[in-house]
Amino acid sequence: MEFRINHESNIQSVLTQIERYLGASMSKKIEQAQILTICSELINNIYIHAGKGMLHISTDEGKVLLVAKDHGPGFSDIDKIIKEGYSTKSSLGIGIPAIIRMSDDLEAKSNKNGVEIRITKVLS
Amino acid sequence: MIGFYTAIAPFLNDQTCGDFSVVIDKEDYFFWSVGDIGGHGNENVGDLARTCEELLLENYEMPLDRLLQLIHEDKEYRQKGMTLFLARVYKRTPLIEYLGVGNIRILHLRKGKITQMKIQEGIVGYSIPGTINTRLKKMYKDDRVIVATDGVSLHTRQILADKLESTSIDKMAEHIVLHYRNNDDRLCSVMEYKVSSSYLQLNPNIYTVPLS
Repeated sequence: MEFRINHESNIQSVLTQIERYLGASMSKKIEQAQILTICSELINNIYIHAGKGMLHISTDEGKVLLVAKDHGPGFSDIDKIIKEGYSTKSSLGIGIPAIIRMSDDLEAKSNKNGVEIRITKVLS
Repeated sequence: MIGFYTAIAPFLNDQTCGDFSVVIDKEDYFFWSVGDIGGHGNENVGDLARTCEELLLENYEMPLDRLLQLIHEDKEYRQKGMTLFLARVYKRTPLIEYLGVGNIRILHLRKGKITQMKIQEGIVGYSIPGTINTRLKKMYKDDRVIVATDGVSLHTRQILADKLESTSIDKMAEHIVLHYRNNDDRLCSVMEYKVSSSYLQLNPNIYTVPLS
């Protein structure tokens, strides 16, 4: 499923749709909650730093794959971003370090055209 | 602890060796770089490699893409061109941030599985991509990243066949430089991702490799 983020007002609506999707795709509430938390952080980061972007969610062989893309300014000063509690702009979120820890795998590519983050969460 | 070991074997001698590596230990991260100045092992590019090491020591705190651009635009390197890998390995968050341009190989080794880490084509000093990609990858305890210049013929099957994963990183790097030869300067730099036991006690689950 693909969700477009282009306005603050549709963030909650997208999260509600993701919650429904996760509820239908997996049984464990704690895993649903973790993935929803990661999605929330990704979506807020897209909106705060790029204004708009997309989040793609799929499930495959016991894994959930999340792909977040935007055309924002890309990462700068990653060493600051990953410091606990650091935020470049006001954020609701838990921070990039927490996303990294909650993910089973994370790869990201950043350049002047934007950011693509791919996260894998293995289901138990 | 995060460990590094670099093995190097010049094709002729130190004066003609264009391969180099820099590791800098900072509070939050390690800066890690591997470079290879062009010159096919028979030109006096050793001084140029030392100059680049000094430039990295002075500017390692810059964002990696800007640091690459700085070196690319430095007239010193236009004569020969170079391959360059730049990285930061973070200590408190299990993460490597990296970029690479040119003829260099970067392998990621985790639990007996080797994958190639992506870099971009180009020659630093001559021609680099218009868009430089900085990449992030989550690290796990005992993950290794192997960086080798083109004097090393790096075969993933051979690394597994030689059971190098179970040796220390110094033996691994030395073995690769000694046995996986091409006709050029040879450099292999290996990073092993470890954390202190006290930190692991506070964060018991964050470095556990998933089951599948």
